[in-house]
Amino acid sequence: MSTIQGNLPEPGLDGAGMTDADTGAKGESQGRIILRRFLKNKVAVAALIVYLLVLIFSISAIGLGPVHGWWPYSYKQLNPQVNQGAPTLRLWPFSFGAHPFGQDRIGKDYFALTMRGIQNSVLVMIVLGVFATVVGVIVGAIAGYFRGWVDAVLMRITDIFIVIPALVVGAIVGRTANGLGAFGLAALLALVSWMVIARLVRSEFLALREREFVEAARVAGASDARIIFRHILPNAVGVIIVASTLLIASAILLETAISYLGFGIKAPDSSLGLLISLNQSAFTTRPWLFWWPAVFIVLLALCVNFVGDGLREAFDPRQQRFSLRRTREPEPTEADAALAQAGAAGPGDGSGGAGA
Amino acid sequence: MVSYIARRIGVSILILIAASFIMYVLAASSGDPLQDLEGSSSPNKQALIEARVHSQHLDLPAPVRWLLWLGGVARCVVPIGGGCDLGTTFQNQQVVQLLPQATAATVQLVMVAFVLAVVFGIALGIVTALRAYSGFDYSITLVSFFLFSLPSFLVAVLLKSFIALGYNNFLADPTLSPLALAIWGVLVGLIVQLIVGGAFRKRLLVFLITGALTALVLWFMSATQWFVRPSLGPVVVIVFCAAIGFGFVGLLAGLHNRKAWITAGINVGVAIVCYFGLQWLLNASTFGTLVILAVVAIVVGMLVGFFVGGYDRGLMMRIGALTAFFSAGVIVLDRLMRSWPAYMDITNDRPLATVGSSTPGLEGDVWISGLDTFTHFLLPTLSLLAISFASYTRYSRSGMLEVLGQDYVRTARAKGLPERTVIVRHAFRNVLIPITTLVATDIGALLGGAVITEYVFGISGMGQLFAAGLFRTDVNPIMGYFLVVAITAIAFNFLADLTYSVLDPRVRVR
Amino acid sequence: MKITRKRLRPVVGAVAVAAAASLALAGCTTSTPSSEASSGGKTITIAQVNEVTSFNYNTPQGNLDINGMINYLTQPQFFTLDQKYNIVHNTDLGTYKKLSDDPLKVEYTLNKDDKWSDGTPMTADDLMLGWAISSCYYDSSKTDDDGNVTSGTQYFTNAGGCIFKTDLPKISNDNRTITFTYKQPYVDWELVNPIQLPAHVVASEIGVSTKDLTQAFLKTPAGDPDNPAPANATLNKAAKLVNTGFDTTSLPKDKKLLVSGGPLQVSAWTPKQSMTLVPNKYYKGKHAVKFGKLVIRFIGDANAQVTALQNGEVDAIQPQASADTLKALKAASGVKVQTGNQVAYDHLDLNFKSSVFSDPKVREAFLLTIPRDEILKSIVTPINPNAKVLDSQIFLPGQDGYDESVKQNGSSEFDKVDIDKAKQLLGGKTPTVKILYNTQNPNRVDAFQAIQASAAKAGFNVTDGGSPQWSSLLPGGDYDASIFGWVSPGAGNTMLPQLFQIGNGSNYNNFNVKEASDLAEQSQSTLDPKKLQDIKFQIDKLAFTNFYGLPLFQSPGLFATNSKLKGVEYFGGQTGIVWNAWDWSK
Repeated sequence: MSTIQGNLPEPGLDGAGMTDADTGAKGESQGRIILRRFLKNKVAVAALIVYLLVLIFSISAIGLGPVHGWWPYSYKQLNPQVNQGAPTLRLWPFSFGAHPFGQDRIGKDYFALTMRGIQNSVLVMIVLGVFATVVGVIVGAIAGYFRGWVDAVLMRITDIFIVIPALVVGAIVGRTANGLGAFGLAALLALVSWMVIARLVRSEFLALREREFVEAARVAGASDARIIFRHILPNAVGVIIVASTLLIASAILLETAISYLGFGIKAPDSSLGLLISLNQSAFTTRPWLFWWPAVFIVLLALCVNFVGDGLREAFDPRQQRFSLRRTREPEPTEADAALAQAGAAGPGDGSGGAGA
Repeated sequence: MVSYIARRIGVSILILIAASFIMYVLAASSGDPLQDLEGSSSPNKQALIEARVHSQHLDLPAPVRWLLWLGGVARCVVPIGGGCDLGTTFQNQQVVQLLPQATAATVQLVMVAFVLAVVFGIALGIVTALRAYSGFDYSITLVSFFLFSLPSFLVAVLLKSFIALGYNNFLADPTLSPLALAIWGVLVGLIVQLIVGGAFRKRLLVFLITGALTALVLWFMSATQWFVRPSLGPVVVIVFCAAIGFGFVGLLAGLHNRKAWITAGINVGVAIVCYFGLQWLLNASTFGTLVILAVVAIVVGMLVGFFVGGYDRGLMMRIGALTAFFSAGVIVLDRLMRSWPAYMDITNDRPLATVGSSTPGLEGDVWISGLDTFTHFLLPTLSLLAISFASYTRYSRSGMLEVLGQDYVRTARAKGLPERTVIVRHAFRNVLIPITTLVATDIGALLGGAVITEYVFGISGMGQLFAAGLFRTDVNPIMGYFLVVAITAIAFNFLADLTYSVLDPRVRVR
Repeated sequence: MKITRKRLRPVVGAVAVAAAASLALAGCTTSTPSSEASSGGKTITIAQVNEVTSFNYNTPQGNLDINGMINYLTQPQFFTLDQKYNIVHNTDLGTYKKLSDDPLKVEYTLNKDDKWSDGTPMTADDLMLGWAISSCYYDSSKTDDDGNVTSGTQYFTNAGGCIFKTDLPKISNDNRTITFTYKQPYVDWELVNPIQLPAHVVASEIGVSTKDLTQAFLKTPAGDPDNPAPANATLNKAAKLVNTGFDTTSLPKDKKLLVSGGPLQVSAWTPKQSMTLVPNKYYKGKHAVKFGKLVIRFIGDANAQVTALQNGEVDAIQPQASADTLKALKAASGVKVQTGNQVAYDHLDLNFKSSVFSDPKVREAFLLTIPRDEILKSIVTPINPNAKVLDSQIFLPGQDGYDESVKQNGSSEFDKVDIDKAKQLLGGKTPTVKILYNTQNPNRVDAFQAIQASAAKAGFNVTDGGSPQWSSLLPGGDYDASIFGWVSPGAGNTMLPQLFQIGNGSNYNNFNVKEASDLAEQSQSTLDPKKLQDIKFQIDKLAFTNFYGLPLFQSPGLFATNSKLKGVEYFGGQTGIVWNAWDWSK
């Protein structure tokens, strides 16, 4: 399975050779190059900004923990019905009104509930992303680096977790972890989400550990831990970042799905999936109860997907290279020549003419 | 190879056992199995609780119950004493009996969606890769990310409210207003010009023509009450069949290939003759007839291809079979449409269903029951499609982009091969290799992943079995679900690895 | 193109395939292509959440609402409940009457021409079987705490438990009448329906004649746990069949299991999808249905039921009542909505064992802070604008005696929240009260939050003891108050000792008022309706004056039907929407 991951940049010499004609300048570190490539991707940058704005907005509005935000109502408090619970938000002239997103059945402020839902959903995304990445990287790195029976045992354990569908464990874990709140839910969900990353990291390590720079470090007497963390891991960081972004994008959908089925975060706490689930029957009568959380779920997931795509392209410029119009140009550009060189070194060459 | 397979199966069984243990303990500790009884006001509550404790062995700790369960499962494989026993639900229903019903319902639900998602996803991904960084690519990327970000219950609820209720309401008075015509025209025009691409003037022209054409066709359909009495009619059938022949020739052989033209032409001709000559047979058809007709169509198509032959006989046979099969499909579609008014009568003029997988107690021929299946599965299929299709688009797009940058593609171009040959014969096949793996892995996940769609559309498949079990902490049905899903996942992963080693000679199984 | 032998091979093959295909085609076509309407009468389709799991409702595992509905429609009933939960004798099946009070003797007589759906007449054999199933007469078993039988034999396990004891019944000579003699007076004798399953079916399934089965019942001695007799083989087989033989996941191949004695009989079952019932042609009586088919579709998602009704896929639904569902249904065209109350109610109980509430003044103070009106307005009023706060621990509005009891039971003290009085009673104390409730039920969550806010004003510190596993925490008593719901059967008096008897397993809040406990026990053997009513009034009053807790509201219910469907009336009882299926027409 390891060869599927052929679409990643090779570190070291090849990496330098791959510098894109329009982004690369001599003397820049790879990190800077990637950052520049990412920043060039306007959609991804915009998505990142929107994501952060939503997060900041939600935190500043209702505060976090004991700190109060600028919004007067809390998501737990019951208020008298204003405007029969309909949203008081007005776009022109812009005004929030008492309850901009409306109120739920018993008069809780829906704006505060939605903001709290965003916080919880983002919390789940981040906690799940970080935990799963850490576990996945450790398992994958050890398996890929030491190979042999360590690898076999760890990969079989990975397989055990893989055969259990995520939603299933999610639902069970969610129900069990009910008292732990969003943080506990996310942490436990992470325990069943790390497998993809572990597999990717392992195959990356299997390839990298045979490289000359690892050999050089070993000859120089570096310890295993040092080789793993100082030499190999930095070279695998692209794969990890991209995979964990995708994981984060699926985390929000997993959380909403679990909460929707009634196994996730419970009232009086709030999550976007829970809000939709609770108010599904209000779809035709009080659509705002349905649409506000729905809009934010889609918005957050969309942002993370775009950021992830931007990161992937930044780490993996080879895909960006091809364009029908360009290859039809009579003379290959300088970059194409570099690409050919890079391609020859990578695993993606050889028996390519399978269909010819 | 044999030892590899044996080893792999052995390891898989061990994994399954270990995973089932985790699953069992998790499921058993996820809630209180006596909750409904403890809260009840039944006078003999204690007896009810005892009865359940007794029948489900709830007095034993979960790991011991798992051993008992495992013993029952082992008897499914090794026929000693009593045969297969996956336990019973709280209602004393044998899980062994429930599983086939549930699996059948789920397979029926996901199969079409899955095939369509793979086919359309890959096709669209490849087209976007060929038009990479064009307006079309960006719009598809946006749309697929959007679909990717939609929670499945949201899609399902929206489809039900807008498509099912909306379209059924529309059928009460099926005329399109000029405004609706204009909107559809503009919409279709915009999409088509994005696909076609090119300079601004060309796009504008394409936009205007397709937009006007769409509006005109819709107006015609609306004026002739097509939505209530749909049919294709001879003209459209002939045009469609011809277009299919044209399409396959263009795609597989290139428009310059005379033999391909002949193959497709003969097949289209046969199809049209059959359209006029075989209606009596279709009227009296059952499902079996249609299967036989499909096989006959493929055989005839291949025979035609074989005799036209030439140096590329295999290709001609493929073109023949595909043309014949899809032309036959058009004829069947036309016949199906003509049963629509009868079906509308049966359903009180509200044909699109929102729940279940068939109209209870429906009596009718294969066309009526075919339409019934169609109207029930249209929405769940669409909602599954919308989500999974997006990821295939992304994967095949990036796969294609990568392959197009490879040396052998460059070499093929350098040889002066036409672009069609480069893409269809050289690039496309290599894109398929990693996607095959992805598809195989997805099948396993698919069986278990339709929980929410099943729930919202009232289809009682595997997901329902699982969710209902989990709500009551009824472990046996949960474990039955797990067995099916896990075995499928393991089997298809295994299959994926084997396929991969066959497709890609660089990979060798150890 | 020269045709060589090699080239000929596919041609031969093709001819063979074509020949085979045409043969197969001939076999695969149908001669009647047009669809034809089925037997006369309209089809009525209703939706239900659960799927049928058993044709015997009366076992612990088969005791599901949907199985009860099927049972109600397909099995003979000596009585039914009317809209106000009064018992109505079903004289079309037969008659039953009390012969004497002490000992309590009840005589059941079947009508002459009663027949099962296979044409077999109904006889006292059927009554004997029904009695044997529900009386536990033969059981000689002792069980340990986990329900394992340690000695003796347990025959029939039934959902209702062994709540009455009788002598061996007497069968009349014409084999149509049976007489029960109760060992003690039994208050709910009128709710005993001694006909459940066809005896001839049970007998033939276990390979004996009906006569032999009845003889086995008559000959086998009463069970004695201290001195168990060896098990009777016939009885054992019959019990095994009755206990589990009717559990199924699809239409049984053995059609005998479907034999019906009610107005309808099961004719088809598409597992996971729907069940079809058709009229029982041997059923003669007032409950004969006026339609051709009743289809019950199993739709688990309540919201999906609403859409299906809007889309005309089902004719009647009984969704969970919420204001939004109600509004959506009211807005839909061609949908008729009926609201009412269920025989279930939510209530707040104070734990008499908790140290906080050992002082009656604190109990009173806490109850005075409960904003019952506010809770009602936010939860029930949007669905049922006429709903009122529930003011009795025993009666439900509409039941005979509710209004009278409310006047005398002292509930008026808690009509309004009285923070000042509560403060005064507390005298500056700030007790901490932990409330147990189900966090998965939004109504309970809302009620908890409302109570928390209101009680805080009087100085109570209400802490959240809510849990999704609330029911298993309920007997433990690690809480000061609890909010949960009771479902009462509508008729009958079994609830009284459960709630008010000291030491009863369902008396979760350890209500320990001796007087009420004695009255509750006494009620179970009180046959005089007037006396019984008086006992109930007294208990109701004792519950309020001792600050048992407060009833909050009666759960609202909702039926919605296609306006083409006529005759559906609201009913809050456990048979749900099908309670008057015989009045339906389309």
